[in-house]
Amino acid sequence: MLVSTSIYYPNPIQTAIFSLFSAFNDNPLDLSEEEKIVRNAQANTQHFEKIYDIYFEKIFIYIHRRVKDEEIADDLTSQTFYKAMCKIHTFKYVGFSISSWLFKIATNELNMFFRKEKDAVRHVSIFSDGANNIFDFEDENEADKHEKLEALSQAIKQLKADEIQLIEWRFFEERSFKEIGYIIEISEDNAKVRTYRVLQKLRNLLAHLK
Amino acid sequence: MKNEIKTHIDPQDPSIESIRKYKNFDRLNTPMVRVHRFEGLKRLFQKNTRFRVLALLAWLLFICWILDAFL
Repeated sequence: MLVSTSIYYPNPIQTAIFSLFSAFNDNPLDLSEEEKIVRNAQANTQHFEKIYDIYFEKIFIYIHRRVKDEEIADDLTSQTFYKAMCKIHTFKYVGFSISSWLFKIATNELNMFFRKEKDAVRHVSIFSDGANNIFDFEDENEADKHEKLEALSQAIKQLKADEIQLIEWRFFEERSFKEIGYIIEISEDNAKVRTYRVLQKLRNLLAHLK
Repeated sequence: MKNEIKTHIDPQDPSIESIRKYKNFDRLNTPMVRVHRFEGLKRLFQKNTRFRVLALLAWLLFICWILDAFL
């Protein structure tokens, strides 16, 4: 069986930066553990099973939230891991866990799916905790809160798909700008600017809906 | 045409137990056989290998030129 020989070993500075970021991640593994698993998978794709075991549920939920169909989520999750397995030799640590790379592949798979299936419905999960970052409603009663969340869902429906993604990642999944930038291949500053531009647009839409 | 957008406020994710029934690594392994078959060929066109192949060709040309000039 052919195996890839391009194995990447992060230097100590990258390792330190990585561990700093992974402290804020919900990554179940520490760097050395994950690094070992990734290195094994890069040397022999049969060892990719461990990565699959650890991250399957997370990727499945990430996709399921956007398609709301278990069969489709299953297909897209398999596709994501299949592509990751084929390309594992190209993975390099740039300050993020391999989970960010998997989310990046999953996002591409989802975008391809929605581009191909024009009749498919794009689902957006709005979490009240995350909505707190968009407008402050801590002191409000349940009815007002619900009304605001309803208005938010109406406003979100008027955004473009890529704008919705930014709102989902930043406010409902609480990803860092650096990670958002990594997923959509733009700089951290650019991710920040784009997200705040969308937030401004969302606030304007909310103001019009009142 | 744009995909329709539906929003859900505080939805429930499927349970981990219900997700596990979809977990099957062997499913990924089957198409992998096809990938392995072409991996060697693909690697020939990768950036680093491409450079090495070009360097080798350049050396061969140089040797041919030397041989042609002196023999």
